[in-house]
Amino acid sequence: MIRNRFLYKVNILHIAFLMVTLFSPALFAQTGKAEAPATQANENEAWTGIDVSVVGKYATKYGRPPRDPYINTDKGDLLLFVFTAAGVIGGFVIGFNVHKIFYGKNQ
Amino acid sequence: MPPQWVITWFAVSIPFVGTGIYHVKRKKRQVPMYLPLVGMLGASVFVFSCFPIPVIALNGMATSHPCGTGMSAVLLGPFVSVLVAAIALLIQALFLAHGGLTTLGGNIFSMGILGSFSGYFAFKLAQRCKLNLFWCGFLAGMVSDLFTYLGTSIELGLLVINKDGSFLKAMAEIFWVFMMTSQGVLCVVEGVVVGLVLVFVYKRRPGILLRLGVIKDDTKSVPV
Repeated sequence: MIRNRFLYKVNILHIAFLMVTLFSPALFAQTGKAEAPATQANENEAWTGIDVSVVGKYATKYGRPPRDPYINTDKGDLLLFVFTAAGVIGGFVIGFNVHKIFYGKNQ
Repeated sequence: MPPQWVITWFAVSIPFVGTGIYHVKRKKRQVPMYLPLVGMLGASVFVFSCFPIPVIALNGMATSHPCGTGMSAVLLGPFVSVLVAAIALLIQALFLAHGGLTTLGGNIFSMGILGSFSGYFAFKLAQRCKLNLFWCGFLAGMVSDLFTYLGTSIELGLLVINKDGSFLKAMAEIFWVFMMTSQGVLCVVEGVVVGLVLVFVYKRRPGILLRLGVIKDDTKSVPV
């Protein structure tokens, strides 16, 4: 009973978190303004990672501009493949061990 | 990063990583299921730290990633958490163009050392204040995230020393920008995730937390 209530709370929080993160542009969009919103004015900068926008900016400012990595996977869809593969492998490792630790026979 | 800082950050980080290896070897004999736990949390830190989450903050739309070291520090201990972060950062630097090899020492210092130890001590402090398990985890996650980006700000701020700039001013400016550009929101999200994970582990298998020394006595009720 307590576990079901806990799972219910987790599910609600999970859905709320997904709503806020995935649909944040729709939830927080400002309409009816004469001027174009900042999000449209800076369309090229929208959703830039802060590692690039902050670290890259300050590293460049202090004389250390970014350069290509030694193993450059940022070519076409290669980076997408690498990230997807990393997610799949990471997800498998997490799922396998979660099952082993929390739901396995030897728990 | 200039060579002197590359060497400095590696010199700072390597002893922590070495101690982490020693702790894994020792604890895997003491705690059953310790290696699967290291594997699970290692993969979690890896996925967390390369998972860009879109957030709208004061400066507009940006993406940022959580760190996961608060969670691993609470469950595995801070030294093993440094080791786990170092492995995750190395793989990201090699294959994901995320981070870098010359900045690896600096990244281990900020995300591994500062993130893990601050999260661990925040958790212990919260426990001493008799907060419930969720809030202890929440503080661990949030503080570790904040300290990780404080570490990055320190590293970037140190670069101005040779350029006649003020270290404190530069560091404060960079940290402020981080907090306004989505990381401020994300550290709260990370706190919630760590709190929920700890509550889940406690409800599902409290023995794990007991054996790892996260909670003291399973017979006493731990408020969650």
